[in-house]
Amino acid sequence: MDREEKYDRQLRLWENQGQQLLESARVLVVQPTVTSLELVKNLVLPGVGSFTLLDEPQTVQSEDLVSFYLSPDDVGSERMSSLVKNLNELNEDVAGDFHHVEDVNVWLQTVQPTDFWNQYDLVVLNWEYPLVLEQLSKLKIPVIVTNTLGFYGILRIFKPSVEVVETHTQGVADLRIVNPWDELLQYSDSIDLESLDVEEHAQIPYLIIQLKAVQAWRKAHTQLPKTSQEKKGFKKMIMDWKKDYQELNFDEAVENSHMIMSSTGVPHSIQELLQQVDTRLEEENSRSLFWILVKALKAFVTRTGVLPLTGALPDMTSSTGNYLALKKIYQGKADADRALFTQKLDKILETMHWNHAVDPQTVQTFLKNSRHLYFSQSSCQPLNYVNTKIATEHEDSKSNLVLIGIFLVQQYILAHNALPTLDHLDDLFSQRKSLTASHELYDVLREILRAQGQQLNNICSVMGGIAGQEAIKLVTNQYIPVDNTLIFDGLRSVTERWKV
Amino acid sequence: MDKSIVPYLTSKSPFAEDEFVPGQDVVDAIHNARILVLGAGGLGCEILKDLACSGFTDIHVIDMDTIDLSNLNRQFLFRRADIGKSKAETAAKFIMKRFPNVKITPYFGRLQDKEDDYYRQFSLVISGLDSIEARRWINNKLVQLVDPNEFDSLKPLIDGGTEGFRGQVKVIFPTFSACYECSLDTISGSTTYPMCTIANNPRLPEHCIEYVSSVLWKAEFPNEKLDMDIPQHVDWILKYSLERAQMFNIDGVDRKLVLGVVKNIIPAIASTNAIIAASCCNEAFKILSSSAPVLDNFMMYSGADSVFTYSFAYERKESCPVCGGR
Repeated sequence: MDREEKYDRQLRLWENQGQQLLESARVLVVQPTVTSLELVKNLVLPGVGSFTLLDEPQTVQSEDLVSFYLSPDDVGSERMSSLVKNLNELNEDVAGDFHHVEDVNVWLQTVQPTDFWNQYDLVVLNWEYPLVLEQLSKLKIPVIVTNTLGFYGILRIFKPSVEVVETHTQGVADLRIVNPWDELLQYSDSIDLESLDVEEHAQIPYLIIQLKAVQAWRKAHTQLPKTSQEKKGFKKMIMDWKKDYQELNFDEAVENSHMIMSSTGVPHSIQELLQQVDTRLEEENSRSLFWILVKALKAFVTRTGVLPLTGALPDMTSSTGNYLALKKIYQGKADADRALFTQKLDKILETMHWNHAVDPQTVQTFLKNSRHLYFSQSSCQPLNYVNTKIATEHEDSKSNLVLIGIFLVQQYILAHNALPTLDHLDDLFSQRKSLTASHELYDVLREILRAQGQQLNNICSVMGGIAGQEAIKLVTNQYIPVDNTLIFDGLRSVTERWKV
Repeated sequence: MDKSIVPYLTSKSPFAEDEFVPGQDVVDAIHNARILVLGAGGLGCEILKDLACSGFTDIHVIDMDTIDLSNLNRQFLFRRADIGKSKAETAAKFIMKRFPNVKITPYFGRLQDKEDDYYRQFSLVISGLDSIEARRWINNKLVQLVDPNEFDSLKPLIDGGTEGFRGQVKVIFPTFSACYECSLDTISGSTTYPMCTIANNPRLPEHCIEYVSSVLWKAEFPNEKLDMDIPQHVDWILKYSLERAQMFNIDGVDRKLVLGVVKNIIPAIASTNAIIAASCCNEAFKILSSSAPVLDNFMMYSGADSVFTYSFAYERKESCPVCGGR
């Protein structure tokens, strides 16, 4: 009860299922910065399982106090232990710890034992250290790389494939007005609008009115209304059925008439999943429950031509009795669809010799979201001259130069283990090669370099916020994460994304 | 302590506003600016931290609320032991302990308690309020304070707001750019249900709860205001909502939904607050230092489906009842 109350405002977003995953997630942060400490704060508050800070042992100096997570009392103490103490204070449910290494730059360029990495579900880095990324990619441990340079921030996500069922995408409900099933049609036919008195007439749910309108239209036309003239005619027909001008249900039928057409059929994004499911299941390492459920969905669609009904019914003007009767019919169809889907699924599980039981709640959640499933693959390549050029040559945007600028600065940092200064401006600019012809890159680099290694807290907080949010998406497997590169430009207050 | 901002204010920037003259004067301008923060909740805690870490040393904060258990998942200046205390006072104490050279002056009360002279002392106002009415009040106040003959009477207002994974930042120069009231029709208020639905034709569990809390409670306890922070009140509403739902054969009434509907709860998470608060403070820093162009003038953020921001210039409304014709 206490826990539910404390986390109430977030449970309303990702619910207990997401919260449990968050509470079991273990996050490693290498060489914490103001940005990644903000990220940690944004995970500790909602109750992440645990976090580990990794860095060299250092003593807190008074000039260190730009970080909010160090206090004057910590001067003279060990830095990592002070940070962990202050971050742990934010939530008594979270246990943070630290891991000291002798030389972090050497550590980043050394292969670590698999057992070490397997302690973590997510790793946060400041830059794209190639050897670390390579090891984690093999182990399929997702990585977030995030940092700020002046008014700019960058975020990159490394996860080879992202499969999300609970995307929380808002879409038009599939109500099957143009392709109703028998029970729905029978129910609709049992209502005779003509014979109802005005009061009853005003309590008929708009779905029934739409069903009847589509029926009537089909009697006189070979196809559903398409042109704006036809649509006007369709709406007028509905309006002419009113017995009293105040009947809200008829207004709703007209207002929602555009959804009659848009909600039928299998969305393009889902068709793509159905097309590739067999290939995916052939690949040994992508044989996940997600794809098995998609395979069952494909069998369902092949048989019925439509996606399973969710049973959801929007609220609409109606008497309680009429609404509940309609809801029962929708729910009944959803139950029947689920039974058919489960039958298909069981068959697939049997043929595939899949030994884990699939619990009904998982099936339920999958079916509820079958119009909004998300899948994406990512190359997990660090930025290089080739992929940065490909990513930035498509669209003409100012942020392209920021991405190129950050790439060039990162190249320098990875090669020298140090930040470049304004003295390196011309040198860095000359490294652009064929990435861009724009001279404005020079200004972008100058803007980055004038920071002299100082980071702006506001930009770090924005990036720590975005990175924290993306970390939550990755560990809860809900909502759609950035795919896969994002820049925040605090000069112009915009974000921009690339798939590199 | 705030050396982080120094290079940005003492060196030339290719993208700064024309009037930007880098040097110690700009650093001093940030140090000496007096900032008013409205609200010490989810956004307010972040705003206070961000200002203290960005060189601001003279900050005032107003909040009329006390700390509640459900605040702790994001309002990180508060601990369990602080439950029941003033948000403004607790937040101020925490920041000053961390940053001894920063002065935070809290006020535990309502915005409306303060006179015009109080508001005249500030360089800039940042609002992290959760109520539309309070935002309208401060917006109106700052527009009224503008004296065309006195430049200092213009107090920029930066307004932040969040809901779940979404948020927005509005930069308002009263009488010069669109004010909060100009954009009021873009703001969706809380859901309301028609009386005939909740009284005669309930269809959703929400309809049953709404009837019990707005009709039955008043009929049963005409002299007692419904207070959802009192457990007995919640129990009563839950009991009769369940009863009503059962009468109409409606599923789905539970305690969580009852609290959500009656308290009009908006989901809130630390990360969105961090993003929006820091964006507000970034704009404040840019306005007061001229070191970079300022957002013109609204930014919308959405982090549910990937990350998406949209910035646009919202036009002033000539017919605006607050700033129109001024």
